[in-house]
Amino acid sequence: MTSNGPGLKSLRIQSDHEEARRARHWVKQHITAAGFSGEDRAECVLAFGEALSNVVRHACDGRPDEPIDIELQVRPDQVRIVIRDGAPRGFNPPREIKAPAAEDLAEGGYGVHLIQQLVDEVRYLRTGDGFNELHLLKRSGLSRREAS
Amino acid sequence: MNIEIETKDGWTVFHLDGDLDSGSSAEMQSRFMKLLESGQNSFLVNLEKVNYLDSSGLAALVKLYKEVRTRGGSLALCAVQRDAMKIFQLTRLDKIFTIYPDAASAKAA
Repeated sequence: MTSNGPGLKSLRIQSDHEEARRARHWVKQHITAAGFSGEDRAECVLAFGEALSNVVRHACDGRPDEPIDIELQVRPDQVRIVIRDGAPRGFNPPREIKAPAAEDLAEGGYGVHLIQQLVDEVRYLRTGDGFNELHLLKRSGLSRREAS
Repeated sequence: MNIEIETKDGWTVFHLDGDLDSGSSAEMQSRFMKLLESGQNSFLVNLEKVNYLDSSGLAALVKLYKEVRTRGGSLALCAVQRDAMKIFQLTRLDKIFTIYPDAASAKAA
């Protein structure tokens, strides 16, 4: 990973659901300690959980022992998360996706739409050294209101 | 996830405790389907102790809701916590599911 700075934390997990749960709790713990609470915290944890779940399911293709690195940078006004894996093909969420209509009772297809609704930026990169990076940026509600 | 099943007064109540996510939704679905196939058809899913629910958990609930309806039964939810309610609101599925504040209200309805 290339970014550095204050408040930077990192965690390596394996690509299975238990490990994904551990990572979610790790993110929640750190952003709570940094003062994120209520809706901002819930939205951030859910977006991260959805993104990581997609990486585990699609990029790692069900293999439970692929390493996934998570980088977390928390500032009072925003949270940046990078999910990095070495799968041949990464999870690259489409930029625009229509949510399934509630009345259609779809049994899937909600995840990417939720990520886009919950965070301010989603960016996928394929690095020169062959890794996939999914970048999420979540601004706090207060910082969004100040910017508008 | 810990799942306790209570059958009383014609209701089958699933008390879920833990995260309802891609790692736990299959087990919930499997236990639910066994009861549905055994002939029970009034279900309540108590989410009081579920603080995290993701799109996999949501998809599992939608699938069960459809299965129950196909058999002429009912499935309602209760005690959805604030963080978990977010996902119902964003997908507008809060307009589809009947959601009670708690188990007692559901049984009294």
